[in-house]
Amino acid sequence: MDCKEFQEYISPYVDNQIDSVKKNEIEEHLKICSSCFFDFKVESLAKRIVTFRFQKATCPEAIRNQIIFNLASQRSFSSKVINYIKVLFANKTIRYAIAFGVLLIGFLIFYNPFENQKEKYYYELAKIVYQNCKEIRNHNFPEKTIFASSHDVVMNFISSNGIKNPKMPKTQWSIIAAGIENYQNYQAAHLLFKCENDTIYMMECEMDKISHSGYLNFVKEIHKDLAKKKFFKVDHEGCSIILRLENGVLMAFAMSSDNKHSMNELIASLD
Amino acid sequence: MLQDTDRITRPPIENLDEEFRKEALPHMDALYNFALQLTQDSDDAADLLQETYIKAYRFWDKFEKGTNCKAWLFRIMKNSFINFYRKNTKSPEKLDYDEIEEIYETIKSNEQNPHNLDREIYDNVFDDEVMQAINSLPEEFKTVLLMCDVEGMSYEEIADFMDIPIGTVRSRIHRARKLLAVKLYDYAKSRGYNVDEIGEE
Repeated sequence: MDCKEFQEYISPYVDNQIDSVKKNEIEEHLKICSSCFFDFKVESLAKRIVTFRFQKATCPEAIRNQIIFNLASQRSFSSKVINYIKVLFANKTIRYAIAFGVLLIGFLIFYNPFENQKEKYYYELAKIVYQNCKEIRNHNFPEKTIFASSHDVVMNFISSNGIKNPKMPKTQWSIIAAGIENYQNYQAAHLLFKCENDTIYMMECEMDKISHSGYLNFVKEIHKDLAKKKFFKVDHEGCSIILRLENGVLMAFAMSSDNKHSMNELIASLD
Repeated sequence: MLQDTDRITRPPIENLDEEFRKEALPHMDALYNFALQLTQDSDDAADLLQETYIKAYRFWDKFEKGTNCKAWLFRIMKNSFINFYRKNTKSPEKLDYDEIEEIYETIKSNEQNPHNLDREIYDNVFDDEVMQAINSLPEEFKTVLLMCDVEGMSYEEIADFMDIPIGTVRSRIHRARKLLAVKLYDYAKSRGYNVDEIGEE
């Protein structure tokens, strides 16, 4: 080993980070070269001074406590939750159960089978009513007869005739049709009656303004009147009903299934 | 303030991950030292230390168990320092290494007996002068030297930590020691210690 190579390995030698072969070569060189020996001594001295005389500061207790406090606080919030989730997800069964649950919820949100069934039912109902309305419209009806097949028709009739909560005319009148309207949250009893001058009026009474039993009595009264008239049912289940009146007028009603019970009652009493 | 938080709610140390407590917390002194070296300011050092531990704790799952935790923590501290503190610190003083080398050669030619030089400098230079000499080293030399001699890291660990080749670690340590020796020799001389006389004894 020459002096140049020695200079390269002097530090690893002092720090004892050298293989035994190189170590031997260096020690051989140290015996014969006083200049390199001097360098070696100086380097050793520097190492000793740094190692033993460098004053290591100890971390002040207050800082140490503050850090541990902050770390432990962190732990008690986010890390704990994350850890809990981690532990939870470590279990295969729970992991699959959670995944399945999430999928199920997603499925129910985007494709609600119950909602769909209801929609389907209303669609069928609407179809029947529409077909019946078509049939009804082919008949010759007295002027101003309305087809109460939907909420919109009723509303149109009311607005086109300027009728709002009409008072019962004092002239002779006869009931031609009655039924229940159920539109979203709105429930009302409908009564159609014809006056002597052949004008047809509609009375609409909100359900919440009359008691249920009071309403049933109201319907029964009407039924008595209606019972004298001929009628035919189109659809029991769907609460869609078409009445053929004495004068040949056809009335169509469409009700939602929510009122099926009272409508069935109505139908049963009419039968 | 600390005492107040102590009294009200102090999350028990048991809340900390057990392995983190065993592996990372014992290095707090070493890290504080390193933070002091980097920042040269005790407040900044405390902030840097705190930031280092919070980062380490957040990424504790990233730490490969069984590897050198101390080196890992030092690397986090160094990166934090580079990101947030460097702009506040003085740029390392420029150093003409050739000039130092010349001075060193002069000393070498004057001092015949290295054994005496060793003993007298070691015994007669004050501790604060040792600190002063170490702190006056350019940052890249000082860090490598402290990693090696104070923290007892291997060259490989230092190379990994500093992200430099192992050959560079070797030469930096070598140069740092020469620089230090020259500075300490100056202190010894300025304090009236006659190197020549002792050399002749």
